[in-house]
Amino acid sequence: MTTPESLERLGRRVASVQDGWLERAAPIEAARDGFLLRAGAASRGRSVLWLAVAAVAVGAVLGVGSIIGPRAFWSPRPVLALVHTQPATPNSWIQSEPAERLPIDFSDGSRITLEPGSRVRIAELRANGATLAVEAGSLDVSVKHQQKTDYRLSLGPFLVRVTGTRFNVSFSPDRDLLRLTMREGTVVVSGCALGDPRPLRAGESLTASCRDNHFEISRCGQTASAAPAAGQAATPGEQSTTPTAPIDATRDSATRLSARTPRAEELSWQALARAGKFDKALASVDGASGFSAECERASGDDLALLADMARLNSRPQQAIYALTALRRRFPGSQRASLAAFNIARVHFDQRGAYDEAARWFRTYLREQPGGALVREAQGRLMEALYRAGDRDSAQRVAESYLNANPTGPYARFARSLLGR
Amino acid sequence: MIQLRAGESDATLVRALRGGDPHAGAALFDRYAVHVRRVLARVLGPDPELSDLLQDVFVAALGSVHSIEDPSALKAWLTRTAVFTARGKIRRRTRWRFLRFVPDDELPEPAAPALDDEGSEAVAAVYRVLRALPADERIAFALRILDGMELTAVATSCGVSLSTIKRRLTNAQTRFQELARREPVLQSWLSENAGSAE
Repeated sequence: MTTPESLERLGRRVASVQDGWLERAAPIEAARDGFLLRAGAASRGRSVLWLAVAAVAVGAVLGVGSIIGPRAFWSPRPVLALVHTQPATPNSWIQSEPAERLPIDFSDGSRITLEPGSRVRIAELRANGATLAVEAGSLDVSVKHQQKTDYRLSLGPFLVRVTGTRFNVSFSPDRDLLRLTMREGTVVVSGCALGDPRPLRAGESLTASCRDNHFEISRCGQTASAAPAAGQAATPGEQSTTPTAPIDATRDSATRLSARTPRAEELSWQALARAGKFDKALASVDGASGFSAECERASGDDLALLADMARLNSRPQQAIYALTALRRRFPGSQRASLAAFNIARVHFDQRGAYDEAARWFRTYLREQPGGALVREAQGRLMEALYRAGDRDSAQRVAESYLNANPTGPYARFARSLLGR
Repeated sequence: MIQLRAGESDATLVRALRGGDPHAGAALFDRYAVHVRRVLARVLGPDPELSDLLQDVFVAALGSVHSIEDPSALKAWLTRTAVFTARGKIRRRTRWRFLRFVPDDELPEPAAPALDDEGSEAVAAVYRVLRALPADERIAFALRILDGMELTAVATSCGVSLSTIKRRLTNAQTRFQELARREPVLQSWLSENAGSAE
């Protein structure tokens, strides 16, 4: 005979066991990262829907079909720009190290990667895109096309408007020189020697010099897929081509090549990952060359993406494997140090291996004493040591943490460790 | 734009969400992710997709934040969103069950972390039983018996009246007790002299 008390007792026991494994095993930070990436993309779709609903409603009230009115009442959410999963705010400067590429991931699925030694400012984040001021360097741009997508790159005297495409662009302020190689889709370039805004399509390359008041457009082979930028390894599904003879920049646009959308690239694991379909992307990697082989072959950028995918998909072993490969293949880079931080996170969040987590947080702190994640690493090192049972070391880190961050997010925990 | 600070009220957070504050989504997650994850875990049990479902709840919440009638009841509203997300998951599983070549009760259990063998066995047995219950009864049982929610909170979370939730709970308990007889590990918990089992 079951009594209500015995049922409640069983319930409490089940809850207690569940809470135990939730606390130790569930990667809530990984879910947070995934949510933030998905949230922006979802908000774009909602914005369009709400705008349409509002347009109908206002139109009905006013008896006009204008859709201008609702814009005054509805302020859609801007896209999120994430650098190493941290949100970048308008007017923030982003600079890549001399030996690494630095991706900026946008919540609508777009990605702009700074080639080594490049510097940009996020001038504006809007619901339908962003404006980036490129001070110097090269960018690998992949903008996901959606209704009314509007990304703008301001490069000295030049402006590139993007509605959804892939291309490489570089700007040298010393020579006021712009180079742009289209890989997919269309962009519109204006400024200086170009005069009127000019469309560029897949397979075309532009070189424009403001100083020489000259520009030239050349076209690639029929495959219309330009070579990846320096530092970026080719991926399956991408074909490298060589620019052929220059063509007259004033030639009628009808003679230009039409864009080709490579189906294989759309289905590549990178494309799936950037669309937030991590499980499918991982399945694609597993089903192709295999995870470990991909870790040896992938570019640094893709390797970091591979590790993120595994981490966000709760595959700690694979995440650690990819991050370790990243450190081995790109030793001494900022990316390698960031990998150390992420290895620590995986050990902490997904494996409950606090000794290992502490060791890797220390590695990050040793390699990047002035790094952007020092405060977070110190806080988590303190917690990892405490959870590993090394209270003395945790207290020493707590002292140091409180000296540097008396109001930091781990300050309360540090004080409790020190009995204050 | 509303600048969010730690400790802001739920009503302020809702205003920030509605106003398009780019940090409001993260603030919402930071404030309630642990609670939502716990609700999902109670309803679904050990589930490899828990992390994805947690994201789903918050993405869905952002999409319907304009429908919150009482911004100060944000937590209850999120709980309801979590419950509906979990129910959708249960129903999807049930819907496709007929396509499986292996009978449902022969499918391998999702692995629960083995921290406490006796407790883990009890958890696995409880969810084996709960999987045989209708989704709405399972949810009522999980929220009330496992999570210890007040009846009114369970009713609110399920979007039904108090009398409906009482009826579901009574049915759920009856079915649970019948089915639990097949689970030896639960016998010591459910017997009259179960006080010593805890």
